Amino acid sequence: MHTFRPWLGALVALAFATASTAKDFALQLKTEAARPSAPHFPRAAFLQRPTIEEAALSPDGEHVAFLRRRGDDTGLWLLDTDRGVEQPLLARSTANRLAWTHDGRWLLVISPEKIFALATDRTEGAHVVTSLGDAERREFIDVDPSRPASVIVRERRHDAMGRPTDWVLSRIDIDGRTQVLDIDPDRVEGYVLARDGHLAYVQHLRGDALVTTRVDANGHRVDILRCGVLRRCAWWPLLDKDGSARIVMDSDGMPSRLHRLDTDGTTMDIAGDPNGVADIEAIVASDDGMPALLDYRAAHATTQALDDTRAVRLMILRRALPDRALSIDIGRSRWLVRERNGDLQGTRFHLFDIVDGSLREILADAPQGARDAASRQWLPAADLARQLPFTWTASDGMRLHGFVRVPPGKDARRVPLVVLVHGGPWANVAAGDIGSGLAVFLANRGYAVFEPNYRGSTGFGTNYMLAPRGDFGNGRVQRDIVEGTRAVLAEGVGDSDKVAIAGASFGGYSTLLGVTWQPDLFKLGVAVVPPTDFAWDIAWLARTHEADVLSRKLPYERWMAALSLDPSDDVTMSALHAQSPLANAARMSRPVLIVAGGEDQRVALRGVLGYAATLRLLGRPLSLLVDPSAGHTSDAPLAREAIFHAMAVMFHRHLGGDADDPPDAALRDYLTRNMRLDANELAQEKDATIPAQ
Amino acid sequence: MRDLLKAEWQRYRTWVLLYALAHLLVLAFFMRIADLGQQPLNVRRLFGAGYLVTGLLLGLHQMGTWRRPNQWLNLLHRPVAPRRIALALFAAGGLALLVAVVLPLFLAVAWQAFGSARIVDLRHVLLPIGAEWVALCAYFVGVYGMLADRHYSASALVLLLWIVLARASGPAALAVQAVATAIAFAMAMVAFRPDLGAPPRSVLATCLVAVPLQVAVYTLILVAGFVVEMGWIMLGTHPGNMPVPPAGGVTEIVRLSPRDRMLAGLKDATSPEAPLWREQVALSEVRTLERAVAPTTHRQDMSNGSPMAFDDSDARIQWTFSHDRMRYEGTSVVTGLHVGELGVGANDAPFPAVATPAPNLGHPEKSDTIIVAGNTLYRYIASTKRIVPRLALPAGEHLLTTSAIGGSVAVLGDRALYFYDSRHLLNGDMPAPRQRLAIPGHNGDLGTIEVVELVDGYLISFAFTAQAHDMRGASPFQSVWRVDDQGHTTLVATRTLMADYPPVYRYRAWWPSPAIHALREASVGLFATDDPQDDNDTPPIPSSVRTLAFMLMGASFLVGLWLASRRTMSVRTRLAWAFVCGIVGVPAVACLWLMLPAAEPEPGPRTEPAHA
Repeated sequence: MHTFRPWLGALVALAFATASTAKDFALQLKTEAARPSAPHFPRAAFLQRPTIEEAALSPDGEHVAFLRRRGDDTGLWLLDTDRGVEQPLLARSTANRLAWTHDGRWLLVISPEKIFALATDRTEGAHVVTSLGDAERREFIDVDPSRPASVIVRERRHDAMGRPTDWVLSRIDIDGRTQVLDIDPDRVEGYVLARDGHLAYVQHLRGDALVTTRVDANGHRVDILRCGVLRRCAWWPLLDKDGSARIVMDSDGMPSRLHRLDTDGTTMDIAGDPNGVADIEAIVASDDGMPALLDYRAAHATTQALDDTRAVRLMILRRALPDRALSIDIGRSRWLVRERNGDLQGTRFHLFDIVDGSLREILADAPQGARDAASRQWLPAADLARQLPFTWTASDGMRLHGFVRVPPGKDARRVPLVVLVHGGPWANVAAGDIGSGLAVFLANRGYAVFEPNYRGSTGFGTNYMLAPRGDFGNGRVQRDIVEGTRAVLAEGVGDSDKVAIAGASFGGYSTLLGVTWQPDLFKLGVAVVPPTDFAWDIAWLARTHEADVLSRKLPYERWMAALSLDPSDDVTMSALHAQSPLANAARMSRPVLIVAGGEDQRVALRGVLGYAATLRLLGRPLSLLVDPSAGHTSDAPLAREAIFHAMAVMFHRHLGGDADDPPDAALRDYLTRNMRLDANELAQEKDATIPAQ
Repeated sequence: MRDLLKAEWQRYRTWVLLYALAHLLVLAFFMRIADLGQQPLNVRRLFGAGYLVTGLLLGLHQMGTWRRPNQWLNLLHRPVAPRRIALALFAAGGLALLVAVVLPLFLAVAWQAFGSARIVDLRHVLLPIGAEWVALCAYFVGVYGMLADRHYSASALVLLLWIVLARASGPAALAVQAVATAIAFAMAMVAFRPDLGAPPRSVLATCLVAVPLQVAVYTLILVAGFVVEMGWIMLGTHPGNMPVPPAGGVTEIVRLSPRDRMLAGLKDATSPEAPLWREQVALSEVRTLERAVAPTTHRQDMSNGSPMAFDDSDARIQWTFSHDRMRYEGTSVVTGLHVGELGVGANDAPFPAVATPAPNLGHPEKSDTIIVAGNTLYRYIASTKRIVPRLALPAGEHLLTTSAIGGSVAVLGDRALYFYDSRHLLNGDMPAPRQRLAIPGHNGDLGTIEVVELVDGYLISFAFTAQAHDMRGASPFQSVWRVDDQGHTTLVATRTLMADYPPVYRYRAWWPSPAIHALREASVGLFATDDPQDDNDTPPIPSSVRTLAFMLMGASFLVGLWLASRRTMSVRTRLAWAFVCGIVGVPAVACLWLMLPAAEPEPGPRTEPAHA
């Protein structure tokens, strides 16, 4: 009876949670249906680019440095937060990251090639601190929290014959002086610095484990902690004043939590997702360099304060910006608040005065067009589909998460449903994030959109991520997506006769699996850069240079083995191959659009073309768009717009959603040039609606 | 003789010194804007043409002034043997060329060696010698052109043509030039005689005049054939210029796009997978492999058949290959100073063959460079300033090109095509190829190679069409192969192609004179080393062409016999000429007709007028 009691309690809690969640979701659907219908926005409006690319608050809160795009150039600017005056610092910059030194005297402009330092008071000029990249692949890790003006970099050294030898973790002072902190044959993954600047802990990737070593004042080293390589085991880089350290760890694969490690070796759980669902996504440092705020982004976008004072300030912020995903930089006098959300294009920046609790928007530049530098307007959030959290229980009992969007003001039961499967598969659809804009675009064209975070997705703990156990064929993961889709339909979202599936990379693979193995559910598919045989692609990758790119942390084969996809495991690979879209092309009869890149290093184009050739030989309704210059992902505005348009035309033809805007000359030319097969007539200006099958 | 030499030198001295100065200024100018030691063949040819024209004009002018009847009598009426007079004049000409051509070149090489950090190898020191041989040979050709019988005095130009066409390189090319110069000198000596224009008397002298003349006539026949070909082109029926080439022929296959060429090769494929392959080819990018590295770049070659230098843009160093050291020598782009030497591996060992930069293989580190030397591919690692071997083909095979295809690297040797996994090629040590496909024909016949990626391997098309228009080339054909991921190779289809051109065209260099054709082949290849690209599967000569050649030879024998009978010569000589005409063919007949004028008709019995 004693052993039965906890199970009973868990079941009751689960039933209650399921019922309450379902009730919440139904309520949210009603709310969405009650909203005014959104106007049809032009396609280009979903692709516009933010003007402000990056912003960083100085430690004292007196300045915000930011990168502002003007046409094709990006310049560096500085905002005086007291006076509200903006001034340009650099007319052009290739920087992709900004940071302030701990003492706030130097602004660090970090580009792929170098770290450039600018003195805030303009008296000490500007200079290059160090170059980045090169053969050593030197990379900027972070600002040194223990020193007034230093950075921490990691690099890999090679012997005379070009073979990699060891990893070096160094501190580089603002004047360029370098102090080596650690040299080791194994990759340095983490470090903790004492307040006096000496290395207190260092973490290396040894074999398949992350091993943490304590370094005492005399340099003696003792291994103190060993984590599995795929486990969350990330050190906060600075010791507390009492000598204790902070580490984000997961316990038994559950979502990660922040722990405190005392000098006597005892650990104490400090904080984690109150719902017990999400990993800690990010930690915000306070002005003393220690963790102050925790961000969660998996199921819900929330921020948690670690002390009462900041909890109060956070509450004020939440009141001012309700239901928003907030990302915060803490300064001594002000906070820089980045506001994002699932229905909010771009990022809004605010300054929060911690003294009087006031909030004012800054850097409110209008966005730019995707293909030109013309100034545009963000689409109103009130007219965009909201990101509704959705959970369902898989057939094996596992609780899974995802998001649903429905067109505002429409009866969700009568609209076609598009299942957008994210890539990876070790990635996720994050809460409070509009993503690429594709989901809101499709919702604006009249589709409900379901974005499942199937098992294997990140952000929900290691167990969640490793749960597929290699079953990435027409197996467990695909069942998660199918069952999630049926659960969404059962909740009254989407017309079950008008369901499409789409996705990129692994999402594209899942799309092809869907139209091959579940054609009764998925009436058509749009697969972007899809592997057509996951096992073959894993083996092919192992032969290419891309495997080394993916091996930065763990050698490719060991990494894949840790994810239960060992390329040498014939049983797993044979099963994946037997269930692959490529091996089962004859089963596929649904209309399909495949988009591929000629320079894709991650998914072999030849696999896609082999599959396309097979479908064409079989007379299947296939459209194939190949951009010769595109890689696995493409930032080219025209290529992105082409995918949006082709997808919308495809869905419109077969599911009957709203027609997309006709392509202009440039887009039409792009489609004509790159559409190698067009059984669905996507590159032609036809507007006839083909009834759904 | 010395006085004559001195007088002749003084006659030209001013012009020679002015020429030398201008030559030096031109060299100085070009040395300021480029490294003249590292120029490709065409630049060498341009300079060589200048020296050739210089020598030719000098010979023509010098002898042209002496050849006038009064001058000639004045020249020869000296108490010196004509041979010594000739030697004195030739020595003066040679001295003029030495000063005008060779001296500035030596000064330029000396400045390169001692006044700059540029590489100076033995091959650069040999350049002035080569220039002297070319100019001197042209000088004697000019002398012969002015002194020999006007009917055939231009025949010595074939010696210059020989120098241009000779395949020998480096010091061997100097040997060919020396031989040509020696022959030209001998011809000039034969022509330098008191009775200008008289036919040679000795057998040796006759041969020295007749053989070049016959080769010249043979060359004129080829030129005439070319003129006829121009007419053929103008008529619009030349296969190479027809708007729609003959179906199933070489011209058609050459004009097709790589994709259509591959599809044409698959047309007759009977494999059950062939329909799928055709679909995949239609959708895929078909890659063409082209030779990027000249396999015949030999040590101390005078000109650079392939680039000899590459830049390390990070370190601002230009690395130039030294044939003497068989290593790279570094020059700072900023200071122009020598900054070190670079060989293979940590010990900077010399390269086993002349090295040249090759196309990158995708994903190189910044400033890293791929280098090919002989059968080995190396990588220059900019961060450590080391060159390390990355793959080696079997010994004796030449690596011709590399190309990144998908996730692999295709490596073309002169015997086989290889595919390597790109992952370990740049980072690992000498990986084995995943696939190897022997070239299904002779390398010299290979026209194009196309590669298409399949899901589990490659389709490869070889078109052996390179010499299909010529008698050396194999009968043209296309061969398509499949190579799977396990390395198995399967012949998919072989397609015989039409040659497009009739045999009389393809064998146009042979049937006018098989003997001179053989002489041409031997002389052009004199001292030359074997070139894998000249390895052809030459088919036997068709019987129709043989018959044509034999008929011409027979007719030449008869005409030669008839012509000889009309010349004043012994019966033995007549028979010898007729025999030569029979062996050599039309060129010998023309030679006999040009060299030996018909005998004056015997005067008949004079009838005295009857006195009244």
